[in-house]
Amino acid sequence: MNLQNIEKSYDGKKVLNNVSFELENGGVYMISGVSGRGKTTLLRIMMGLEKPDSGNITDIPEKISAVFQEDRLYNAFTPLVSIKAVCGRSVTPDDIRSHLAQVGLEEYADKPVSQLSGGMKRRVSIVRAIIVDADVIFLDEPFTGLDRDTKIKVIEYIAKYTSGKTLICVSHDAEDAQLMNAKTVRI
Amino acid sequence: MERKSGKLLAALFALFLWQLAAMLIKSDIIIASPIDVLIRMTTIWQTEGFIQSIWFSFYHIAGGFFIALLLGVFLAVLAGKFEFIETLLLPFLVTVKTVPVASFVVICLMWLSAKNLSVFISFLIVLPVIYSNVLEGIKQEDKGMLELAEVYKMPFLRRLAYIHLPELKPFLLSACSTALGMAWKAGIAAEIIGTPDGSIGKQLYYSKIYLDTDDLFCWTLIIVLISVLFEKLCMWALKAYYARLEHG
Repeated sequence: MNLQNIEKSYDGKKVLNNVSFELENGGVYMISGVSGRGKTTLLRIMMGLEKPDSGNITDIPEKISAVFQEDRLYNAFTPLVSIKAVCGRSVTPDDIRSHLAQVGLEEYADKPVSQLSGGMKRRVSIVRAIIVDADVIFLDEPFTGLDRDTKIKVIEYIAKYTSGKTLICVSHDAEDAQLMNAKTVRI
Repeated sequence: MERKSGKLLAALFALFLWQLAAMLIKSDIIIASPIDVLIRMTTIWQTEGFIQSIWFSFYHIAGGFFIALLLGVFLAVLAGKFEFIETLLLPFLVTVKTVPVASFVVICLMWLSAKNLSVFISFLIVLPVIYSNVLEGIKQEDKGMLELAEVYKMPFLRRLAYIHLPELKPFLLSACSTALGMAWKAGIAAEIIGTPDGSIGKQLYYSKIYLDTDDLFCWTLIIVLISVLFEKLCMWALKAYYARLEHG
């Protein structure tokens, strides 16, 4: 994936200024930068959800998945249904249950999302992004609300299922890059 | 439990007032007493064409409702996608909402046979309710969930089931609950004016012509019962669909 001279402004305020870098397929990357430097905007541009004012991105793989900054789960759905919604029949309910169990949510697969804590919802979002057949996985502040032990468990889970896939992460915690063995890209 | 017994007491009180009014007026042409209506209820089903009348009105009014439901959702989706369609439909909706049902019935009698009148009138009354509610729901859809569907490249049917329908749930439930009652009120009114053969409307009309107040009250009660049952059945089906969707 190749980003060349990406620029983006909102209401005259430039949030991305001439950002260029290249990402190799199968790599793990942590995009870092001070708050307000447009890390989330850059992820959104890479996901195709926003257009840059100038510059271009080439070689974006077709199959992508994402953990957004917000959980983006329906409170009435169960984690099982929330994940089934994006996978369809390509993944069986047993597979989903097994993935949920690996992040400590085995007992919550059939409970409404409204009954889950913030950290649990985060893990459901992560499982949803990992279980889907994607070449690139975008993770925007994926570990918000997770304690350190849970975070390590979740990072191990992510690593187990993402070999050969490109991971692009944004996190405010500098330690996350280290825990994920990620190359840091500063913007 | 307390609320249920409260409702029961209120219903008993209303029945008592009705009986009291009948006893004071002492004219079974002006008002039938609840006891007379109850007695007539036990025999009215033996009237010639009883079942046919119920079936005739039911499938015409229910038919009008379901056609309006499908078309209302379809038009709302189009209007949600293309603003000019919303603008284009506005005069029609304002007309349907403001013109009295009786005027529509009389106008439609010039175009349609009396037989099909209740389908068209219930359709006409239900359409704007469904359309407006669903369009409002579409406008309030969570953009984040739409982006999620975009990123995960969810196919149309899965997007419809897991993104759009959950977003529309409160709007659809409220629209259906309101529209179901309206469909029956408007449909029967159309039948009374058009008096198609073998309809509940015609039975009501004859009851009035022959000053058969017991029958008039009985048929009214039957309409209320069918209307409530139909509403409960439709709402149960919708809620059951959503429960199945939400819990897998």
